[in-house]
Parts: sequence; C-alpha cells; structure tokens
Amino acid sequence: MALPVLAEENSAATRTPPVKEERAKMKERRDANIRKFFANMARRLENMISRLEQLAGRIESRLKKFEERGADVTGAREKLALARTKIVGAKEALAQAKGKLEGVLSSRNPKEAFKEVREGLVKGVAVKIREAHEALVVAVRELKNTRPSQY
Amino acid sequence: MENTNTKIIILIALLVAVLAVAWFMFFRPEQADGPVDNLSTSDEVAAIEEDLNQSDLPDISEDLKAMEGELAP
Repeated sequence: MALPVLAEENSAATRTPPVKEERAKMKERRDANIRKFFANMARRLENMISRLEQLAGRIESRLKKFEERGADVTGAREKLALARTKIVGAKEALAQAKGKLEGVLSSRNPKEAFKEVREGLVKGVAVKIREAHEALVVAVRELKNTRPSQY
Repeated sequence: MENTNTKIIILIALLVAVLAVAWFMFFRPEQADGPVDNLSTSDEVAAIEEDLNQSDLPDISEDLKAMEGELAP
C-alpha cells in the first residue's frame, strides 16, 4: 500500500523542479542572450572603428603626397588628428564597456548597472565614431579643395 | 662538325645577349618613366570620399533595446 504513495511523491518532485534551479537556468539563458547581443554589437563597432582607421591611413598617405607637392594641408591635418583622437576614444570606451558587462550580469540590480554600460556605449563609442567619421569627411573635403602647387 | 655547332651556339648566345642589352637600353627606361602611382592623387581622394560616404555608421539602439529587454524583471 505504501509503494503507490512513494511513487506519486517522486513523480511530483521530478515534474516541478525547485524554484532556485529554475531561476538559475533562466539567468543562465538571459546572460547567454545578453552576451550574444553584446558580442554582435561589439563586432559591428570594431569593424567600423577598423574601417575608419584604414580610411585615416589613406588620408594620411594623400596628405603627405600633397605636402610633397607644396600644398598647405594644415586644416586637413587638424581634422585627421581630431578623427584619430575620437577613434582612440571609441576603442577605449568599447574596451571599458566590455569589461563592465560581466559586472552587470552578476549585479543584484542588473538593469540599473546596465545604464552605465549603455551610457558608455552611446556617448563613448557611437558618438565618437560619428564624430571621427565627420572629421574624416571634412579632412577629405579640405584635401579636395587644396591645389598642390606642383600640379 | 662539332666545331661548327659550337660556333652556332656561341653566335645565338651573343645575339640573345645583344638583344637583352638593347631591350634594357631602349625599352625599359620608357616604362620606368610611366606613372609610379596608378591612381592620381585626386582620384584617390575621390575614392576615399566615396568610401566614407558608403560607411554606414552602426546603429546600436536595437542591440541596446534587446539587452535591456533581457534584463527587464
């Protein structure tokens, strides 16, 4: 007579796992999703930063050629220097955000902790990338308007 | 017979050498005078400008929303 009762208890225990275990699994899934979103976003930002660095290098190369031909490239050089400063800033801010992500995931109040990471990503990375891009556009525009004397 | 063959080989070798020297003297310098840089400076500036215009700045708002959505209680 005792057997059926035991069997019922066991099956009930396997059907409803402890709440703690369920919560831990949910947190694991949530953390994995956030890491995935973050990694995708970071990869796109890094690609853009790398692209801007390459364009800055090409502009630098042209600036030198213009200078060799006697052109005044002071304005374009200033913009290029500004763009490079912004690019370095964006890289640093992205590295900081990456470092803070694990802290957010293990925080007692992750939503609140994420605000700081969000701020760093928006103001530190996205805005600086935009500013660097703008500075490069202006540098190229100035180069286009420059007429080397030895042409 | 063997002596004749040797003479012919020497003659051919000399002819090849003379042609090679002539090619280096008359043709090679003209090619070297050609454009060192395939793209002229202004062409390259235009190409950079085009690349800059085609650079889509990454929009991270959707990624941030997705992450915040995951963090929502």
